[in-house]
Amino acid sequence: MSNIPTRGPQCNHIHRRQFVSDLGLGFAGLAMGSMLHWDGVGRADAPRAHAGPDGRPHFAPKARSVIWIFLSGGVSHLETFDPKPALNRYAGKTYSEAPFPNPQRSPLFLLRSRSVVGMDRDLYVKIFPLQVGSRRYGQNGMDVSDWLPNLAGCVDDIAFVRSMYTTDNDHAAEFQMHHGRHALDEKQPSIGSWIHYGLGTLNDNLPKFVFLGQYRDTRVRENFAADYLGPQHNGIELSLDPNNPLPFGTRGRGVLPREQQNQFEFVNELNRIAAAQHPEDEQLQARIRSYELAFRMQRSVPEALDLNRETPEMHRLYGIDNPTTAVYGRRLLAARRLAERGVRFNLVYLSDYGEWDSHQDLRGNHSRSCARIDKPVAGLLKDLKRSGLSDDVLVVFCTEFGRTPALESRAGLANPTGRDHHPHGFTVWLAGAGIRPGVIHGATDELGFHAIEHPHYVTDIHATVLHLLGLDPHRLAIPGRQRLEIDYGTPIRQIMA
Amino acid sequence: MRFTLAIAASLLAAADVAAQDVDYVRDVKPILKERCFACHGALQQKGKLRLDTGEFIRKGGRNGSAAIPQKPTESLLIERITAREETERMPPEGKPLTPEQIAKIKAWIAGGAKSPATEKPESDPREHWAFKKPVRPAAPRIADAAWIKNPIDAFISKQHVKHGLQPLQPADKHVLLRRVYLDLIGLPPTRDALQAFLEDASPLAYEKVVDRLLNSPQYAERWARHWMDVWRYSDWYGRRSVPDVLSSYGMIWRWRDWIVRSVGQDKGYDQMILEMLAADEINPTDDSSLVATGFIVRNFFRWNYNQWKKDLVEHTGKAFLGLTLNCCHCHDHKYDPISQVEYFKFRAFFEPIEIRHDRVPGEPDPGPYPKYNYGSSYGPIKSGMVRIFDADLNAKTLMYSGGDQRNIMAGKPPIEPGTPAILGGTTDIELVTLPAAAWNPALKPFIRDEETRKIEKAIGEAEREVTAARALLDKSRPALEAAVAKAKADVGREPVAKEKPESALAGTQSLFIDATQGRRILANDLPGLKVLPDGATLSFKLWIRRDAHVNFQLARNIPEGLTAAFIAFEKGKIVTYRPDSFTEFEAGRYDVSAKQDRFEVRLELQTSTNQLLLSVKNLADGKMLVSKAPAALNGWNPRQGIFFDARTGSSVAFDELEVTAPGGARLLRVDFEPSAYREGQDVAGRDGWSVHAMSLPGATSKVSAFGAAATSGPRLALQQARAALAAKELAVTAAETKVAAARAQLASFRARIAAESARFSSTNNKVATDNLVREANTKERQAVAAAARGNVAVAEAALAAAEALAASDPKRSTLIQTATSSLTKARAALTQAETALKQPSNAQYAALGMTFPQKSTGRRTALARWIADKDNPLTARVAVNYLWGWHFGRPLVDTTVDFGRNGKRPSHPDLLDWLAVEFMANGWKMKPLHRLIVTSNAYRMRSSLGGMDHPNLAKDPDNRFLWRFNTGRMEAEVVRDSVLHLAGMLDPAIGGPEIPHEQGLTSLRRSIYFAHHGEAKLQFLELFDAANACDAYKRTMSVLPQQALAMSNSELTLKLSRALARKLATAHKQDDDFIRAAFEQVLSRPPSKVEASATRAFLARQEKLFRDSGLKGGSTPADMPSNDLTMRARENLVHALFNHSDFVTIR
Repeated sequence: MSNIPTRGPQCNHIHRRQFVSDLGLGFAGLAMGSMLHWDGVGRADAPRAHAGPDGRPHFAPKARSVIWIFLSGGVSHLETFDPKPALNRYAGKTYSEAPFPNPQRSPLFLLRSRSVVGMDRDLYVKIFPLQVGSRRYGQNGMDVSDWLPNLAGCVDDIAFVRSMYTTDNDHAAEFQMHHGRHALDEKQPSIGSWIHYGLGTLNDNLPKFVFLGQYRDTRVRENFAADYLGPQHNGIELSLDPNNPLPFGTRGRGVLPREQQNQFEFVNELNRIAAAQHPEDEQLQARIRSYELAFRMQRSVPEALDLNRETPEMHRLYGIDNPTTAVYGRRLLAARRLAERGVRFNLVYLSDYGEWDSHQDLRGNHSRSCARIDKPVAGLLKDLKRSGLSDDVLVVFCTEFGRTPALESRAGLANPTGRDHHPHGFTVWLAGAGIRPGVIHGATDELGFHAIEHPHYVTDIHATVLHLLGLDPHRLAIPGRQRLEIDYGTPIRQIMA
Repeated sequence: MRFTLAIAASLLAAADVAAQDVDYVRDVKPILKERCFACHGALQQKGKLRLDTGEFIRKGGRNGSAAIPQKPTESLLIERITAREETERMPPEGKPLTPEQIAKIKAWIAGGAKSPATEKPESDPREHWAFKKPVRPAAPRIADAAWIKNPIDAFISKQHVKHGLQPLQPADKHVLLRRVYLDLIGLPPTRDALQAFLEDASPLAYEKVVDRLLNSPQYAERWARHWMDVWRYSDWYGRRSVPDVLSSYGMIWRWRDWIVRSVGQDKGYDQMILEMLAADEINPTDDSSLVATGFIVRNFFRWNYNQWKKDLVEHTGKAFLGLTLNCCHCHDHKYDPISQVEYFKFRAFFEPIEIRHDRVPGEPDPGPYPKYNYGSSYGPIKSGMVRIFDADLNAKTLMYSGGDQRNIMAGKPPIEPGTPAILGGTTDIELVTLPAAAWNPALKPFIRDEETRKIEKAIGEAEREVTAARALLDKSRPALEAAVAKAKADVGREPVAKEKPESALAGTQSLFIDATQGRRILANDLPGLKVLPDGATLSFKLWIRRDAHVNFQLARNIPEGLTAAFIAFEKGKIVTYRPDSFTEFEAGRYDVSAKQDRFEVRLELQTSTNQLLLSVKNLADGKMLVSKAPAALNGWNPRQGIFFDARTGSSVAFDELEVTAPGGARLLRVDFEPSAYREGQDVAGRDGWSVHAMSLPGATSKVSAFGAAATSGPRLALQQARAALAAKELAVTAAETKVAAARAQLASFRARIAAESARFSSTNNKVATDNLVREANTKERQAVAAAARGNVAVAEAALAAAEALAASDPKRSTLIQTATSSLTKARAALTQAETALKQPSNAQYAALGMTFPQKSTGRRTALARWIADKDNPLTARVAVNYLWGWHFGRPLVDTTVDFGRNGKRPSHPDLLDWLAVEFMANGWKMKPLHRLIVTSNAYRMRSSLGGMDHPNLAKDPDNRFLWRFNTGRMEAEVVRDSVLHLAGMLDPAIGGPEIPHEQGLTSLRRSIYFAHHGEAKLQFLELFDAANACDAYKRTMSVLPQQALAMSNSELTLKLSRALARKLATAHKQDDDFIRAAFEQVLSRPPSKVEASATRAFLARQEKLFRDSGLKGGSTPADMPSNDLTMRARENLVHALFNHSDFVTIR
């Protein structure tokens, strides 16, 4: 386990606890109550019997930070990482005409598809040919779509899980990917929130769990909501807009920097006077710390997100020099800078909400979306590898579900050219810290319909990530909040180094 | 590899457990309790086996002993927990027991399966404290009588004595005042209120404050918000960005306002429960009560009604009963004696429900509730109210397994409603007969009044329009008439054309069809013409101006363009069909160049022989070109209509279409004369005329006095002059017809009301009702016709106005086209309406509104009465537990939603029961209980220890027995509202639609009024742990750096701090005065000496900073920091005090 490497001059801009030392305060004089967490966050109402985790991993971790890339709307596994020649061979035929067991008759069909609206989605039956070619890459001959030439060059660094399934056949599957529960079941904390809850900070100046991305549909917040763990474990939304990188993280209009610093110091001074009067008030202690952290965050976040500190070569690597790839390239480069600085969980929303949802014109939509992410994601993998950060940072690349092998021919569609939602089989991949590179794990059937070999429900990805971070989810459970066995998932050992 | 080794190691370790190392009570019983008791304990004894004592285990069940001492391998217990087959293995749910657990149990059996002789079995679940009705305990007698202000203190003191705790001294007056203000109204006292209290020496000063606060509207808002947490108040959500309402519903804020109102009025809690669950049955015509069913609406989920009802069961159970009914959705409850069947019985109370929107006075009709169609989105309603009613009185509740609605249990009969037996009581379900206004809301007087007023307003407006149009006509008539006269004279002075001057074919106007380009087919379905008798005649005049092809047809099918009889004039030939055929033959000839271009065409119908006799007379010389030539009739009858078809290259005129009976009686005449037909207009849309779809563009048809529409010169000028006059005249006509239409509408509306009232009245006189119904039908048709007439008149006026425009006006042709098109439509509608008017009256008329079932099942009333019954052991306890928790920061029972056997026991069981009984004895009113609680000594204690060495800390560090007051933090709403209040900016308005999040930092309303729902929360409030709208039973109290950022940098706190500083500065010129005033206003206390000196130093530091930064002074924009050095520093100070930990802290 290497430490987070320092990478040139940009890291020297972080002056840990500078603000505190400026004030001549520091932490020595402040007794920390046992209920206060590492980072100055206290839960006053936490039942005393349950003290909560101490921030240390349960066993030796293999990864320290996660970059979780999510593509919204449902990426076709068939046109990306799981191409099936049979679709071309039997194009235009129905499932029952193809020489395979009819996948819609399989008991798996009802088992892995539970509709919120109380009806099964239209049963499309006519096989739709692959909308793009593919070629084999790397030492294992991993089949990758021609729309992803840059990522294809990275397959030897990636472990693919081609046998994912989920159970919601509509877009609440996106939230299911993040908290593990079907829309009809009670919500759970998101995966990032569990990590925030379970692990201490690596950087006193930055949040532990951030969200990078844009969305119009506020339900996207479910992906980084802590639910019953409490709002202190929500992901914090950071923005690449230099004027407002952190919610309420920018000085008010007309306020001078020194004016605000003096004021922070004054508040701290008053609070310390109060603390002397109320030594038993643990909330007050926590609030003093939270003010210090707030001020440090306000200073550190803009620095961490300042991509101008990176070289032009780095910008090119992430595709920031090209308008097609610039937006997502910037988001991933920012995520790398945050992971490098110790942010534990970086949820990077690498699409618009529902962007990949190609009920029609899959060829046009997917080729365009692939072009927007291919270079940046490959750039991230190359950057992590050559800098050695891949020893510390785990990358997860996921979506909510795959797309049907059949053509979606819903009534009223003049010229059907797309695929419907498909919870029964899709691909997720992982790379970096703790991952065995170059692995192809699991498989869907000949038509790419059902995950049949080593099927994995979405929480197996959660379990894998938690395991690599050294956490046992059973030991994080909160008394009184019932979790089902399937909520914990099982780590996928075959893809671990 | 490492993993496999780890498992092997643990197995090895497990096998090593020795019998002497295992203690039954310490090692074995906890495992059994956690995994086995639910099915093999006091609650259930599956297989007649209990495992809750060693004796029971050894004794065993139906299959014999579970543990044979010293023989673990022969013991059934071991066999079942280690079975390889999943169907055999125990426990049946969850993971198998771990090897360590199994090893311990084995070792215990190997060691003789010993258990203490004194071991007691699990207690009978019926004996659980919370399932027994509370009985008022006598207040304990306490030695320290001085401490006892009211019975609450006696119960608290009893625990102090028992645990050797010394209660803290009463809090300082300013601390107590701030505490009780924040508690009761959610706002701190202002400096003025603080001073008034400190100066009030009366012994009842505090009690006076309490009474004032309890009677203030702010109390209602504050405590409504508490209950909104428990009742999971939520505005609509789903996909707000679309927008698409999936959960909860639009206008549900009326339920929020009902909560505020009910709390403020101190309505009994039992009554609140009744109204929330069943207002539609108990107060069916009281809108102010009906909105209470928002409790049920809030759980609505449009995509899945099963989910809606599942949530209702769970949250009715949790909110009112403190029962976790959700567990028994899938299986019998693991801890409480509630079976899965009882779960479905509970659900059956809600089975018949549906949502409906009702109209409310002063707002538009929200329309009917739309049934859901997958794939469509439904935005929120913006008016009226949403409520619940029983839609399906025969709704069946079917049991399903595994919590999955797809798995209906075959063969199980539908489940009838019922309550869990363990809680006792009875539910008598009585069918409710609803008053008419409840199921036929259109009968409500306000709807009639509002609709009538709306129509009367329209009449008034139309009448004013008539007056104005008349005045305008009178004023402009002389000039317009002069213009017409002049134009006429100009036309007369035109040089005589070489060719014969064009004029109408007959009379002053004809129908001209110009198909020089394209093709024009006019059809007429001859409305009103009945089957013709034998010998009837059809005739018309025809003028061929350009000879190509024109024909007249007796149509067989107008829409499909099929013909029966056919007479064509094509390049000199007159062609028709041979009798009984569709074969053309030449019946005669004409020669245009020889002045044979105007004809009279007569068809004598001989229906008996299915023939017609065709005659064509040349009008110039009276010569017969065709005389009574027999031709095919092909079974035509007038209802099938006629065609005039001018094909490409032709230009023709028609006139004087007539149908006469054999005796000469005229059955139909169309002569295109004014005023029925106006110069320049097309005929389509009137008197049965239409342009057929097979026409080709480029061709035109219009009524004119001239051979062709004038495009320039004096004739156009005349046309325009006439149109200008007509426009003014028609404007009057249009306004007059509008008046008539609105009056007819009013008459129709009144007739419909009379009919509906008669139909639904209790004294139903059938004959009179039938008459009224028919009258409503007639009046309605008259209204439709009047409205159509109005539309025609408006369109005609618009057309005339367009035609009157100068030819050079670029908009003229577009306006003419638009007006023509609306006129065509209006005329078609009028024709239809007039046809309908000729029909006899019937019983049809548009209902005034939707109607609903006339009865309601009464199920929810029964449920609500059972919950709100004084004999229900849970309801009052659960409520007072919440009340206590909100006052003291911690409830008596920690698990507010679980009073079952898995919940926590109360810290003060007798106090809880005393409060519950007291609550019910006071008519379930909350204010008396508030008063009792906040005036107790327990409530008035200090919270602050001033050190870590207090002796009580060792005995009760968590203050479970209330030897001091709990230090707390303001809830999210209180933080925001308090900043606004202290700055003097809080808008006191109460109620109304939810305020969008976008106004979060600018709106001055109380936080309770912001949109609050499951999709997103107002960011400022969320950071301070606002309630989770979906799981709102308990709030967290976090300390977050983002809170610090929000308080420091938000526009809200910056702006309000400045406002307060500027206000305080006007009365407090000196720094010391200002400092004291600021501390007292923001923190409700004066600064200590240390604080005052630190503050003075801060002000000086900031002033110096501003001076050094070159701050110039002068005027300041309202939303910016002051430009004045001193003022700016003072603004900083006030802002810092809002950021002080003591601001959000409640001591």
